[in-house]
Amino acid sequence: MEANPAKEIRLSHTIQTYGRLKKNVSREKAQAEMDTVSASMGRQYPEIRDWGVHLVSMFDTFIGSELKTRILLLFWTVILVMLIACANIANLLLARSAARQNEIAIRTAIGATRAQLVRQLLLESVMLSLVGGTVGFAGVVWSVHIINATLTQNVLPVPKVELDANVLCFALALTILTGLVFSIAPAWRTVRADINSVLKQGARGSSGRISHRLRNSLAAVELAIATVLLVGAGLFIRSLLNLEGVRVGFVPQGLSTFQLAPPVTKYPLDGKAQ
Amino acid sequence: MQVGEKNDKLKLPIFGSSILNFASWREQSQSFEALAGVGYSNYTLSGAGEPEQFSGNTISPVLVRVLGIPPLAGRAFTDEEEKPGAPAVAMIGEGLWKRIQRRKSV
Repeated sequence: MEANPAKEIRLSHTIQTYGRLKKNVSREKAQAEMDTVSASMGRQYPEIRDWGVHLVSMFDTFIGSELKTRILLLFWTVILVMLIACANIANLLLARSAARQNEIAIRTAIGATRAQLVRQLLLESVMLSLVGGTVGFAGVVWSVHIINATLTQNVLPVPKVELDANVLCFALALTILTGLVFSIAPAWRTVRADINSVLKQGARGSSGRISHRLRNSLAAVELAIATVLLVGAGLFIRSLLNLEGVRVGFVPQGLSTFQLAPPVTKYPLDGKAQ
Repeated sequence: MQVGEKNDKLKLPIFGSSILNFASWREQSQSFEALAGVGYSNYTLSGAGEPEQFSGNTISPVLVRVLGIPPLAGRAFTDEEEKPGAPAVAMIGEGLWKRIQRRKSV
């Protein structure tokens, strides 16, 4: 009797299958259809009766919810670091606004309206954040280059880390937005000063109580965010160190793993080597 | 969409498929515009200079349509090339292509 190779190979799970659903077919509908198909196949070929079909979206196959969570965590961490930096800049701008009250008072005296002054100050800080963004962009180009040059192959699921146009647009929008949002308070402070008292006092403008409260709360927010980040980073480092010492059930030192793909002509699938 | 096999008894929620099962799915299912198999294999590149070994994939020609990404240069596989006895053809990545180009120009 001849063994039926077809039957044996039905259980040989050697390939991955990918499909594109027809336009009007949902995943659930396709899953239901494949359940029927695999049930009838199971009746036809008893050896695969315990096997079914599971449809998984490409996103879950290649990115996975776990990686998504980690990327999102990283994203929010970076956002928090950015907020710290923004609060810092806003604080500096507030300090500078005190120093510039003289200049603003003179501009007001020769006829500048508040709207014009606010526009000028906002434009200045957007320019500032754009300069910062450009420096950041140079850093990104450089670090992407470093990553591609140093990272061993197959560490990442992509062959090469590349700059993404969407991400760059997002960064640009964020740069302009933060430049605007975080300069509103300083600009408002600057133009609201009473020009009479400023001009009388000379170069030394008093920053006032409200400004002090604002700067103090900015510093407090910064400190709070920094604490959260430090605690998070500490926990991460702690778990990483714990991972190093995890017991895997065997001694991994000195062991290596490898795969062989001997040609099928010399080593047939039935296991009888020639 | 990845079409995997599963085995509840063995607690395998997603697993590779066998070539025969893939062929049956392709015949019997209506839900898919295209269904492509991807196998794993090693290939040796020889011709100019030192031969080199690469890990690669044996693919159904329709994979290009499933992914919706056409090749940057040249052409994708034709359905004829999937049939037994068809001449062996290969598609290579951009990185390898550039390396070959560099080697030629040296």
